[in-house]
Parts: sequence; structure tokens; C-alpha cells
Amino acid sequence: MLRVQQSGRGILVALPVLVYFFVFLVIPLGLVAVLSVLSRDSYGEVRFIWNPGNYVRLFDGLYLKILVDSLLMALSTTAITLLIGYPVAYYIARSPERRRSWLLLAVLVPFWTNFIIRTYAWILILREDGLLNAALLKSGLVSTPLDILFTPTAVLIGMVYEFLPFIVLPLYSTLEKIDEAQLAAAADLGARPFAVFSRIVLPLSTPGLIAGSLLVFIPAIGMFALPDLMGGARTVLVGNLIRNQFLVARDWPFGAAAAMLLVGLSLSLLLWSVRFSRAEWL
Amino acid sequence: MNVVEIKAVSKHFRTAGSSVLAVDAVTLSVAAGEFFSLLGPSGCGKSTLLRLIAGFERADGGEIYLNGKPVGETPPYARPVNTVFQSYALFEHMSVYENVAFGLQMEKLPGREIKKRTEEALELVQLEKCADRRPHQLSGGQQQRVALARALAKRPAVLLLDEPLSALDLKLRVQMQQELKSLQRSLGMTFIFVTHDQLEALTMSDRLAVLNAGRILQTGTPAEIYDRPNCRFVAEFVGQTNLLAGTVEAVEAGRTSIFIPALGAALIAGASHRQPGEVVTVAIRPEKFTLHSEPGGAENSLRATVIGSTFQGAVTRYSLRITETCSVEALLQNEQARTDLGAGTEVWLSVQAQAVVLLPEEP
Repeated sequence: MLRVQQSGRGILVALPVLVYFFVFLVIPLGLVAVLSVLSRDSYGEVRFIWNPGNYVRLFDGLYLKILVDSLLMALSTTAITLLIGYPVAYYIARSPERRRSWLLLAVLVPFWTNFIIRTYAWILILREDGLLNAALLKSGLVSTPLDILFTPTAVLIGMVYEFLPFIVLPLYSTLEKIDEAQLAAAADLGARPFAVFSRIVLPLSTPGLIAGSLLVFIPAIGMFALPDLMGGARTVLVGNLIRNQFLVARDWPFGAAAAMLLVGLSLSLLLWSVRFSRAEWL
Repeated sequence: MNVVEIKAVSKHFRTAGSSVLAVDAVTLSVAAGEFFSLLGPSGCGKSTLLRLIAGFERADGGEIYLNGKPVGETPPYARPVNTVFQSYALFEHMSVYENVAFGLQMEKLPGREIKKRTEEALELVQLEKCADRRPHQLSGGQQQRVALARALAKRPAVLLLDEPLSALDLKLRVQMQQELKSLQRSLGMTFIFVTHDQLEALTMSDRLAVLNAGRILQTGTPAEIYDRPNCRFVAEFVGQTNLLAGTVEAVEAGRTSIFIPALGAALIAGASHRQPGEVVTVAIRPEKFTLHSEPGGAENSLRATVIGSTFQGAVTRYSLRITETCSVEALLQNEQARTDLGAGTEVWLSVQAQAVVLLPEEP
């Protein structure tokens, strides 16, 4: 009796969250899922005609290339943010406690500026007569200005900059929890600094590593604003494809199919990470 | 041969502008096969001294020699010592077996050798059956044994133990004290054991050093430290003691007479090379007193009144007033029931001259 009452109360407490999820997650996602198997007429109106062909079309040569490009872009973004973010997170985690909060603040400061402004700042830096080229030309490292802006490289730079905090914060929180005594114990048992890192620090920070990588990879693969602003016409990623299908080509069902593919990919990654962390920590 | 030789080692810690002298010109040597304890209150520098030997801290001055070689520049991973940490510091992401094998893998020993020595170490601490478990699945006592096995598997020249038993409950602690001691004897290994528990240090050590404020006050066997403390701090920190201020009255062959103003009388101590007129502190352990109903024949016989008593099982603690300004504590074995010593009982208190210890007067 008591147990029934308790579980009833539990649902009551969770109700706002459940309503939230239902209204803002289940319903919109359901609509997109339904939309993805419908057809459109020649005026771009959605017709209630069963059409799974939207998904088949995703694997056409052109779209497949966009998908592969997007995957590669998201993977490179994740890899580079990891390479930069790990040492940063480690340094912050091993700093004296008072300095830590300042360093974390420094990681977050860029977010105080609007995304568009941050991106335009990068455009000013990277364009042909921008800061980077001016510096490179002046130092004599290059004789002609580098053509970086409006290339995939520019997009990659923008993405790494944009997502770096997302990998630093979860890594920091796991690294910060590692007991100093464990590192001392490893050294005491004969582990050189590299072995201490590979055998102790790295395995203990895996949960943060996975969480951070997903926090970068998932938004990176759907990103459309950065490729639009910094990639020019030469870079089309799956995020741009979806946006274009809805807003330009007016092929909502096909755009919905592409969106569902991303949702499926993100969801399976999340489920895998949950299972992985369970296996490791329970 | 001395496995550990510490010469005038000092260590400062700088915090927020001020500098704290954690270890102050400590000189110490530990012989091979010895069970040596560093005893002192928290903050006395005993753990810092251990960390200096292990290599986790660098000395500001002086030198540490392990097996006769200076190790000031040697990083922890290359020193022939291993540590059992107070928090155990077991690797949570590894099994018990992997924890113990870790140090041997770092030595790049052949796989068969690693397996053999890991199994031996686990057997030594009776944890063969727990090899596949994770540290958090073990009890505190078992975790303690893993930490021990992990360090022992390396066969270090010296095993450093940093208050390893402090997290265990009393019964387990006493059991582990005995096990550690017998393990150390059977392996013939040198142990340096840090503790703030004077009883632990007395029961386990071959020799011990008492530290306070970064300095070694006295080094000796447990009996020397207990029976012949060289200063007030050691007398009070190791065991319990009655302290009385006095002045040396006369020094004769084999005996010293000290006038105690609070008693209005003199106490006789054993031989000493004090000078008459010297101000000293007299220390008498509570169990050195004997109680009689009539004046006894011992050198120091004092009339006292029982103020109170506390039954402690094997012993009873008596508070005794000798004069208005002088009370002492006496500890008596409960060989037979002593129901006759209630508050107000008049008794004769005596103590042998050999049990009266003279300490230099300190401010």
C-alpha cells in the first residue's frame, strides 16, 4: 500500500518533466518522423501519401557525399577539440583550487558574446586581408595570402573554437575527481609519467572523455550556421541540407528524413555511451 | 648496514606568503630488517618525512641515502622503496590482481614472473580468492591488505607505511598490528611506520623516533622511550605521566634528591649528573606507584587521600591528593577486588627511585 502511494507520488513529482518532454520532444519528433515518410507535390505542399523513398534518396551519390563530409567534419572537430581540450582540462584540474574557478571562467567567457559576433570575428581573422594573413605575410612565412576563409578548413577552425568548452568541462569534472594519491601510488610503484597517464589518468577520465566527445560530435554533425557563414558555397554539410530542404527547396519530407537520420545516429551513440559507462562503473 | 640514512634533512612549505618548517634538520638512520616508527601528533612532520623518503617531496636541505646512495635527485618511480598509503590509493578501475601486478608490469618483468609474484603477494595477505574483485567490493581491512600486497610484491628495500591502520576499527587494527609485525619479521624487510598512536608505535616497533614540530625529540627502543623519556613532550605524548616541578637538592652516589615545592618534601631519583640547584621536572608513570595502608620501606613514601577512582577493567585509576597543591594519578592492577579504597581513604603512596625520571625544565 505504502509502496503504491510512494510510486504515485513519484509520478506526481516527475509530472512537469514528463509534460515538458512530451510537449517539446515527443510531439515535435513524432511530427518529423511522420513527415519523413510523406510526399510533397510540385508546389512544395505536403501530401499524405506514404513515401519511404525519402530515406532511399539520402543514399544517392550527392547526398551520401554530404553525409560522409559531415561525419568527417564532426569527427575531426571532436578529435581536435579532444587534443586541445584534454591538456587544458588536465591543467585546470591540477591547478590550486582558487585558480581553478578563474580558469573555468576563462573557458566560458566566449559564451558571453553572441554566436554570430564570435563567428564574424573569426571571419575577420581568417579572410584574405584579415589578421592571420597580415601576420603571416609580415613575418615572411608566406608570400601570398592563404585562402582559408570559405573552405572546409575555416569551418573546422570555427567548429573547434565553438565546441571546445563542451569537451573541457566534462573532462575537467572527471579529472578533478582523480585522487592525487592514486597518481603518487602509481609513481611509487615504478610508473614513469607517461605510464601514470596512460594507465591511471586516461582510464579514470574515460566517462568525461565519452561525455565530452558526444557533446561535441552530436551538435557538430548537425551544425549549419557555421558552414553557412564560414564555409561559403563550397561547404555543404547535412545541417545545411536539412535547412535548405525546409526553407529553400520546400521539400519538407526529404528534409525530415535527413533529420531523422541524424536523430537516429545521435541516439544510438548516446545509448552506446550509456551502456559503456554502465559496464565500466557498476 | 643502514638501509635508510637521513642527514640534516629540512623541508619548508610555503602557503599564502608564510613559510612553515615541516621537517627541521632531521637526522636518522634505519638498519636493515628493522621495524622503525615515526611517532608524533598530527602536523609534526612525520608524514612529510615519509614523503621525502618516497620522493613525493623534495628536501630543501640535507640528503637522504637509500642503500648508501643519495636519492635527492631520484624520482619516486626509481627509488627502491614502496608506500602503503593512508587512504590505500588503490586503483579503482583495476581488479585486485591488476592492482598488485601493476608495479611488476612497470618493472617490465617477464609475464610468468609477474604472475608468480602477484600470486605470492596475494597469498601472503590471504586474498587469493578476491583477485578478480574491484577494490570497492572489498571491506576496509581487505583493501588495506591489497595496498600491502601491492607494495610487497615489488620487494622494496624499505616499505613505507603512512598511518595504514588509522581507518580500521579497533579490533581489526589490533589484529592487523600483529599481522604486520609478524609479516615484517618473517620477510626480514625494513619497515618505516608512521603513526600518531603511541600504543601502536610501542607494540610494533624495534625502534621509534618521537617527533614534534618537525624535529626528532628522541630515538630509541620502545622501552627506552617509555622508561627514560628525555623531555617533557615525550613523557606526556608516550603513555601517561605525572609531572612535578622541582629543584635538585643533592647528588650522591646512585641517587639524586629533588625538592618538590608542591609536596613540601624531597623525592629520591636514581643516579644522574645533574647539579644541585638545577631546576628540573620530575616524571612518574601512574603504574609505578604502589599503595599501602601503612608507611612502606621504599625511598619515596608519601601520605595521600583518595579523591576518586575509575574502574577500567584490568586496572583502576586513582586520583590521589598529597597536599593542597599536589595531586597525582596512580594506576593499579586489579589483582583482587579493592573495594576498600573509596574517596576519602587515607593511603601511603610509594615509588621506587628508579621510576622517578628527571626531565630538563622547559618553559
